[in-house]
Amino acid sequence: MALPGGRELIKDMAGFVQERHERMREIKRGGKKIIGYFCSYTPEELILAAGMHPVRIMADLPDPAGPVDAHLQNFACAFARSCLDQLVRDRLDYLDGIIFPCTCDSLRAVSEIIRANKKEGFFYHFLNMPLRVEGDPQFVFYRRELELLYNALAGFAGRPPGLESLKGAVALADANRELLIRIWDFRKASGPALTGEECLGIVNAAVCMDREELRERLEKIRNALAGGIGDEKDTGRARLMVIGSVIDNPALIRIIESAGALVVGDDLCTGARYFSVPVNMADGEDPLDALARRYLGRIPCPTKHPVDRRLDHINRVIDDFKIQGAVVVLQKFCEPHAFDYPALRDMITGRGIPVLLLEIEPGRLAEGQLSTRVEAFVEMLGGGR
Amino acid sequence: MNAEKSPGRRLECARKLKNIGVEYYMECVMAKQQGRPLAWITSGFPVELVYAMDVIPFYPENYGTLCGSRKVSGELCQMAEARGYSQDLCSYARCTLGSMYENAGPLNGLPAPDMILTARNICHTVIKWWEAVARYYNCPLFVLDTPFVQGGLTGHQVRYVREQIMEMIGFLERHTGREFNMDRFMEVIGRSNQGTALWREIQLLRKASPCPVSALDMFTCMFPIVTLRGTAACVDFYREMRDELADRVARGVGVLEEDRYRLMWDNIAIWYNFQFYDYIHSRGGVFVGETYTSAWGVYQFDQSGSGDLFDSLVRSYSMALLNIDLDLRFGQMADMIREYGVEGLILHSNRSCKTYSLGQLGLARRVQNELGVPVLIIEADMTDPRAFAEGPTRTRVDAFLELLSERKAR
Ligand code: SF4
Ligand code: SF4
Repeated sequence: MALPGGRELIKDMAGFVQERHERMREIKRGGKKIIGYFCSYTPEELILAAGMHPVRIMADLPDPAGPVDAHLQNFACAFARSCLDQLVRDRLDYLDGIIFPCTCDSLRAVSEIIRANKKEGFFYHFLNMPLRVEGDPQFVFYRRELELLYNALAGFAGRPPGLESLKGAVALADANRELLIRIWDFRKASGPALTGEECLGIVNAAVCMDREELRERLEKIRNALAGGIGDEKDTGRARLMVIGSVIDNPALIRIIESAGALVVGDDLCTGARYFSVPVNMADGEDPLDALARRYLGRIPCPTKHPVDRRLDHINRVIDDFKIQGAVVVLQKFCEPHAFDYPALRDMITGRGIPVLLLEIEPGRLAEGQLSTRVEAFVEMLGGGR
Repeated sequence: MNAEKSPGRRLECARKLKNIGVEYYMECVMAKQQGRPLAWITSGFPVELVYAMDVIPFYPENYGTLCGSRKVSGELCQMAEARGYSQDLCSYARCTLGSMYENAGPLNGLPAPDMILTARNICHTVIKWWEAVARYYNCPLFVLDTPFVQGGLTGHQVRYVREQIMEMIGFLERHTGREFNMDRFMEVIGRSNQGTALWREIQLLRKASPCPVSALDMFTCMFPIVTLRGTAACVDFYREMRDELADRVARGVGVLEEDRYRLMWDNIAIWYNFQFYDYIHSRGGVFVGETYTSAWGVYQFDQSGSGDLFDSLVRSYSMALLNIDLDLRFGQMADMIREYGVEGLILHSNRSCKTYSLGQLGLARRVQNELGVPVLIIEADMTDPRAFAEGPTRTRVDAFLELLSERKAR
């Protein structure tokens, strides 16, 4: 029996993303400080535990020109440029602070530029996280860096850092992770009830929304899906996975799905890499230990070493979600992802699964051109509508 | 003496480099036959440990400069691109990958590594690039992670890097089957300290006017400090170079008869187009300092026996130019500008090297506003000639020197 309004709940999530700046201002008017962050390697739990609101900074297309050019050359990726652009134009006027985890060279440069230009009283923190995600020294080092971040956040929020609030934050973040995992699982079915575009809307809302409200919404969505939401997407469409860094523009997934395919799985920073591995804090475990363990143990992105667990994830998605084709979305100028592409392509095509590379240039999405390439790809897979 | 074709006077000792370079690359190429272990390493890697273990270090970055100056980098880059490596990746990396896959380039392929070693202190690029190499050769890879330094290094950061250094010694022991020998290491450290001290002396001699050595010679003569740091050949070469410069300074001999404009260069050289620097000489401009070449003068290791050698190793390598924040970088630039009487700064905005280039625009503003020194930003790439529009850049250099000359007239 389909729950009424299931589809609307999902659509609302994408709507929230559209209006996110206004919604953030509302949260701020409610008296909460807002901390923006880059990259899913930021432990949101620490921001939540300090009683503040975490929001992930997303790009706005098209690629900007103007003030950002005075700070960052055009061979930084469009994502880095767009984020910096919003900051230098003060479009994110609701932010009280910002956190950068150490990832790629381009974002590290953006971090330095922000630090050099930030206003008095604005919270800025560079989280020196290890590049290597395995090993004891890495754990000890990272745990200490997390502690420094947490103390800084608590100081900024004007409240003492506390273990209890940390535990609560971990529990909340984990609840949301579990729900997202469950929702993603519904895409394993043939004729899944969710499109890739809808899923992108959900995950992109999840990184901005009040996390309590998020939990309620995700629960409802999960229940609606479990009840059979109706309006199943037809079974004949080619099942694709999307691989890449950050996808903030739903138009990209829309283009792929309009060509007749269905995006059912992913390896994205705005997707499975964000939520796939819960903290699962053991009884009596120190929350900072648990967080260090979780962030080092999650599915790594290409800015971390070694990358093996990411490849395992991709292989698992291919199996579990019965993937027939993979679309690699590469931000032009993104070195970490571009370096991995040839080996990734060979690994996937080696399994008999075709790969399509879409390079996203700065500027507007060249929709017509992208559509043509995706259509040819989907046709080759034999899964057009 | 022969009439010099180049508008700037070149160094005598630079002629020796050819032999040093040939010998070094021969050693690399012959390593396999002679049963000597060979490691690919990055320019910011603590090579002293590698030499101490009698492992031959092969520098793909330096190989990239070789491809650039032999003017084959463009085609090698294209070979990597044909394999699926984006044209936007570091061109040193593309030169190596192209040569590796196609057995091509100035050495007709590359010496296969027994192990490969990389460090985060110059960029993230060398991590991804080395991963690709490790996949290709299926050989052991060691990654040295160095936290980004804002303000200064904290105790736990030093500990973190230090533990990895110890881990690396174990890695080298395992893969060479040899034991690490502290006495041998101290010898290498001693020679490394001598080499870098001489390199600093050489830089300091450029305070003289007319400046005794050009950027061209400095770029060419970097080779030993980068690849042979810790060897006797490195020390010998720089002693000779220092003496030649000291002699020039004593006799008042410069690159040009007179330094019309004392310039500073930021970022990696344009390896395939040294005529560009000649052009600047022909217009009266002389580079008296480069952030790039001086970056190799900062290493200093505590060999007193009473201090902590490994601690100083960790600090030196963590504070590498491309691993420190923009304020620290600006501080170093500002010191150089003041001490060397720099009148104009030329920033090479280098598409290939994001770690060096992104952030430069703010540095340029600070140099202009806080130090009152004019800045010219030129766009190019260190080894991919396709990204350099020489004609328009020369025009911009003319306008820049014109501006400097007006300022001097005032
Ligand atoms: S897309 Fe790539 S280059 Fe851009 S911020 Fe992400 S990892 Fe860095
Ligand atoms: S990105 Fe820059 S620092 Fe890194 S290897 Fe390339 S040129 Fe060198």
